[in-house]
Amino acid sequence: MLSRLARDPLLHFVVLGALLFAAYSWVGPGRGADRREDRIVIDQAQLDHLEAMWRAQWKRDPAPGDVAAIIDRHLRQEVFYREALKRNLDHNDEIIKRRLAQKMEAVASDLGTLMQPPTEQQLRAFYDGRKDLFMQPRAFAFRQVLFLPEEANERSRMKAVLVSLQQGAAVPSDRQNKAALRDDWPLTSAATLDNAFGPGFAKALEDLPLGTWSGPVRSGYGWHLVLMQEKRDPRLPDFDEVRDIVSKQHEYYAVLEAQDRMYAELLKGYTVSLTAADIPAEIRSRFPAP
Amino acid sequence: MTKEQLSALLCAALLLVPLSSGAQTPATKAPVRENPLKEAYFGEEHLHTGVSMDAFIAGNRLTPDDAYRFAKGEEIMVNGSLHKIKRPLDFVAVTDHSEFMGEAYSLMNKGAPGYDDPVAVSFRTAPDLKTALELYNKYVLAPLAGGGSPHPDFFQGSQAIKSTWRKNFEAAEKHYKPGVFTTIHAYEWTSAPGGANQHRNVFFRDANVPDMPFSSNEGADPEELWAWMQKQRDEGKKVFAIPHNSNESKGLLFAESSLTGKPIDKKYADTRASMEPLIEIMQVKGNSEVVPNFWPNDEFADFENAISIQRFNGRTLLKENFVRYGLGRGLKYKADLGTNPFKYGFVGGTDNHNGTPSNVEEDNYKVGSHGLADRTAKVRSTSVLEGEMLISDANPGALTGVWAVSNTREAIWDAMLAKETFATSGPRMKVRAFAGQGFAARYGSYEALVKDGYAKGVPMGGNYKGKGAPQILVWAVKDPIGPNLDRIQIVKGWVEQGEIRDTVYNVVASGNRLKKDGSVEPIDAPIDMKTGQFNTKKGAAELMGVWTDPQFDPKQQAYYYVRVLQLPTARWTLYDELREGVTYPADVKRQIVERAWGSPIWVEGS
Repeated sequence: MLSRLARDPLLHFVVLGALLFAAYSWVGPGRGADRREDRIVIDQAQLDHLEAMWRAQWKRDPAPGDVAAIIDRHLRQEVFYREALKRNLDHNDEIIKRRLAQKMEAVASDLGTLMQPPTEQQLRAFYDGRKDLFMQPRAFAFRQVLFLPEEANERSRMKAVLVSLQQGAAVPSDRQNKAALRDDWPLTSAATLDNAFGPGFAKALEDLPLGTWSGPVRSGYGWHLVLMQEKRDPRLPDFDEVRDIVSKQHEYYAVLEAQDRMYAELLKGYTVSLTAADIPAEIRSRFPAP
Repeated sequence: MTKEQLSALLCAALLLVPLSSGAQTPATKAPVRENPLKEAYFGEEHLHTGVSMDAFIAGNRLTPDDAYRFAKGEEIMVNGSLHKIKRPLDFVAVTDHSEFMGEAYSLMNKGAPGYDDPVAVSFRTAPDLKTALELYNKYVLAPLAGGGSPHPDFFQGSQAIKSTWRKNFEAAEKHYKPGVFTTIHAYEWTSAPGGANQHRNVFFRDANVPDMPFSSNEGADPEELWAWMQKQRDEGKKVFAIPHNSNESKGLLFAESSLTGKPIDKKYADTRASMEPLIEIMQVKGNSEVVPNFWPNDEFADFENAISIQRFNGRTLLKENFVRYGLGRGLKYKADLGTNPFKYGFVGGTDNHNGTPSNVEEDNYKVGSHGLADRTAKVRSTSVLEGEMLISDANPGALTGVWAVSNTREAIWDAMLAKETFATSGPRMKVRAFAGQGFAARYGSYEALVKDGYAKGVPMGGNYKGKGAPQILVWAVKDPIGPNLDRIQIVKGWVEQGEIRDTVYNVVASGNRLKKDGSVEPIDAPIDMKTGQFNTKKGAAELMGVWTDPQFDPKQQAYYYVRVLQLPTARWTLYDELREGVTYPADVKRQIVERAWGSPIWVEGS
């Protein structure tokens, strides 16, 4: 995956530029590929790009005089840039070094994940080691009857309905699917319930007795009488049930590790000599002398 | 960069995408429960995955398969962060650009032509880092830098496009679970002559789809698209199209003439009305309902207008770019030509290029919507979405609600064709409306209200055919994780002496705030700027009412649509500031009034 490369800010710039060019190359005619070193071309796509950058900075459309300045500024930069390259001025510049190192780091990480697709064994080991990632949450099954705060006499009505439900009466017809919220909820995870009823609803369900109508419980809608039918504990699904999720999670954590692993591998290709006097022995010992 | 170089980059980069070998699970044939009173199903109508080339270049490597997983609530890696939506969706249409479906397939799929190309093989089997690096440099970095022009040997012509389309098809088939989760076969036809957005999403009813989508490479004029769609219909396929971003259309979406300059005539109007039942009223790049500039009397018009789109591509805001104008212009065409070419119901989408359908929650907008361009709060607070707009001006996108008898492709598509739909700016509030005669002032239950609505009236998207002023029965319920509702409004549009007119009526408000003169006491429920928390005390969970048009003139055509407003909530920009410590410019909004728009009901006379 290109994900790590995708994080590099310089590349963002390059890619965004490419995007812009892409838009034009798909609608416009193909342009020539002769790009000799001493030739500077400003075609329509290039100019549009420069103008777009200019607009982003100045928050208005460039006037004809501005266009001259935009072109001038671009040419100056391009000429000096190319001359600088010819004279190796890019060498040993701290800022350029940092940029390039960042780019290389991104490339290395990408390749790291690319070249090491996980084996079945690795995935299983990851699943065993990170059970916390794959636990299925607590879930509830219940029926509910809703009363809205804006309804008249909602409190006294609710009390009366609770008594009648406890005595085995049916849900009153005006309460069925109240506010288009369904009455019956088969086993549903706490998180889903919080999203369907509002934050904190699942927690409030914890205290309800099984097998009898009780409540009320507050939700994002209003007050609910609830017949709790089942409370299921969190469980760890079998590996096969969550294989895809394991694979995705593994990929995520693999990316996190890839950078270090690649650095270590690349470092092996270098001999590091710490000859400065003021380096503590503990640090020096990490880089065995050649 | 030339087209060839870009293609090469695309191909080479695709080499890096690991193959997924998901087992095919046939769609289950379990009986699907139907509710004749219909349920609101929420879903995504406009989404791009890595199959769309612009999304791919912006860093998206997710496939339609990933997008469907995300829609079902799974956590997916998006631009380097694990991300998920709070609530699964009921349906999704992946709408990748047909223009860019080309070279990809053979490189991504075992056994496909080009898969065994030596370069492809060498990349996959690179023995060490050094070799892989060289290939990477040759096929990714060098073309990116414009240093060479390697011809993409993998490109298999139209066959490759077909194969990519086929792959999208298979992913949709794999994830379709009737009654539980619906996938819709769809794509985007992407034409923008001179930067004037003409884009349409093309939706198929079932698995009977053409083997290749029609792209703007084959025809950049909507009339060419419709001609192709007609051909599909003649062959027994069921298809419609949904335009979007009228706000970026430079006046061309609701134009006076066709793209070829011919004044709109009966034939054009008939074709367009037949092909396009719906319009996407809002998405990431702005709300196209109205803008304050041209609707100064609509006090809620200032909402996610994305006015900085004007800075790019000459996309100046014109009155003619907005949906409410289009609806009115349509009435006028109906009077002049006999057909309304702009008889649009409403849907909402994201146009998200992250492969993350309906990632619309303001407090969960952590990875943006356009790949690397808006991935972090730091970038969002300072940058421009190149060629489009200020990022701070974008929004997470809108959502479509469909009133359908069941969550199946056929039921969802049929309800969309019938325009029994609504769009929301993100929250999952629900809204219904019926126009008819003889409704009760109050109903004992929700079900009684709906039954009476169908018995005595027509639902949203329909034509009122009764005599006398229509009664409009309206109902709305809040999003359970959002704030309460403020009010329900009805927007009426009509044509008077040749002039397109519209007005906004307040119909129901929470508490006793609706006054005799039709105005509403403001609810005064600001958010807590320190936490983003909305007011939990004011407003109502459910609103309903019956409204009769006081200015009804049986000689006039008109449309009526419902707009539901909820209490103010924090905008994503405030969450960025609170969570990430960034600062947006002072003129950027931190607080918004989210809303839902119900599809219009039309009074067309005889």
